[in-house]
Amino acid sequence: MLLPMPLWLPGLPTGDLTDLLLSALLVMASMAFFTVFGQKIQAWMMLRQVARSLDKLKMMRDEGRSIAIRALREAGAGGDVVGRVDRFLEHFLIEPEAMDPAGVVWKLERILDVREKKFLDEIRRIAPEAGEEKVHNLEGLLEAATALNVLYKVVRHYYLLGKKTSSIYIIAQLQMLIPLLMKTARAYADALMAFRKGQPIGDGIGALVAAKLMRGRPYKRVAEGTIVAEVELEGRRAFVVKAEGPGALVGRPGEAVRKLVEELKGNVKAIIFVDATIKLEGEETGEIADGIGVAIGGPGVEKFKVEELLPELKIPVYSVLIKEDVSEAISPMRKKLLESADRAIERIKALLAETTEEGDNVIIVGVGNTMGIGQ
Amino acid sequence: MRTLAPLLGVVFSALSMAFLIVSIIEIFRGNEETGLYFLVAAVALTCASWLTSRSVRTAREVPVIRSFRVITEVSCEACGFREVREFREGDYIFKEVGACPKCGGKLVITSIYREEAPPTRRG
Repeated sequence: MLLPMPLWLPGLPTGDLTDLLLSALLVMASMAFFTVFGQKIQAWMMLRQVARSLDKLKMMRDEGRSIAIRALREAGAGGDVVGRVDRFLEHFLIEPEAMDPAGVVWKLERILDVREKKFLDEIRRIAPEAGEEKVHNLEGLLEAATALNVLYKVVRHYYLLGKKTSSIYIIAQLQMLIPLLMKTARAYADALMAFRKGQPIGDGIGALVAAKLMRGRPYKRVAEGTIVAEVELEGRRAFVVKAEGPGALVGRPGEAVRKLVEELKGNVKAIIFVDATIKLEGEETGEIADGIGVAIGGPGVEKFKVEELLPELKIPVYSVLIKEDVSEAISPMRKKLLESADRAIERIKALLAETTEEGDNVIIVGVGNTMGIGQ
Repeated sequence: MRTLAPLLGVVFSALSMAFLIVSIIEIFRGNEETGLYFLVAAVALTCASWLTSRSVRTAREVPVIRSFRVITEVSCEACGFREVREFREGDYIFKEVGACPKCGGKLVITSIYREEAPPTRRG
């Protein structure tokens, strides 16, 4: 039977019922194929994409490990450096139980203190000739290498789990997260060389602002790895706090503020924190914003110490934040970010003028890793 | 071969477009079989172009561990003399690094930052 309809298969001069049936069969067969195997093909393609990223993560992990080994050997480490680094990379921390949250901050602080001491002691044992600053830089390097190792192992776990169970839901979640995980991994990979050489990193911008404010002034240690200098700023008596550089230290800014407030018997009119923050897409590196609250990152112990003071003493707390990309936070500092330090100082002065009066006591805290930044 | 890849990609894409146009013309002229062959050729060339662009992308990928060129700026506090040099291990901001060659004042490292040029492979 001839059909007057136009043909969908080029090359056939006329159409009849057989052609129509054949075409319908082809369409139905392909529909059945994609219905049955479509998800499997999709899962296979996603797994391939994850596998490529996993390969890259493995390379980053391996490079991180070998950079750490080389850096320790350069610092005079002897003996089984490889074995000790491998043990380091597998190190873990178990957070305290939070079912009964009362007092959990102090428990966490204790665990973090022990961890830090153990890491530093271990590096001092491996490389006894390394100076104190070098020890802190090596600790940062080993932390970055450990983070890469953990990231690689977690991604590998979900990749293998997805492959084993053929579950498109596990694979799809992993594939969706991969760009963000790779960005984090890239940041850690960039941090390796910075920590090895002791170069200032993006996270150090808060410490740099404080260093600029206290430059040339006598300073004293106020808490572990944290210093304070008294500075006259816009007629105010400013106590500027930062971690003691130039080693890779973040210090104890919360503890320092607590001690200073105690020393000044609560006579503090404002506390201003300066810190780096991760910018949103579309924002510019080096943009400055100010607001209310305690800008101290990390596990929250130091932040808690300051916040605990506030209800009783009623000291207003302000923060000046300098924006940067996550990839810039632990890689060598960009010029654009470095130049924002002076603008941050201007913003601090403006805040002081708006919220305090001449002769008032104020505390200014430069939060962040002070690697490569003196005072 | 990798330097030729972008050129090959453009050639494949152009040929693919040309074959597609020829295929449409042939189908409209009634030579459907010829048109079909040109269409298949156009699809094959599009695939070839895509594969070539993939290889270019892989070649341009950033190295696993990047090493940034880091610059140290040294300035004299008295006369403003300024020197820019490569970062040396042990440099840090506000480190005193000797006397100024111009006035004998204190030379201090005032900034350390990474160059904005694309990073190189770890050296």
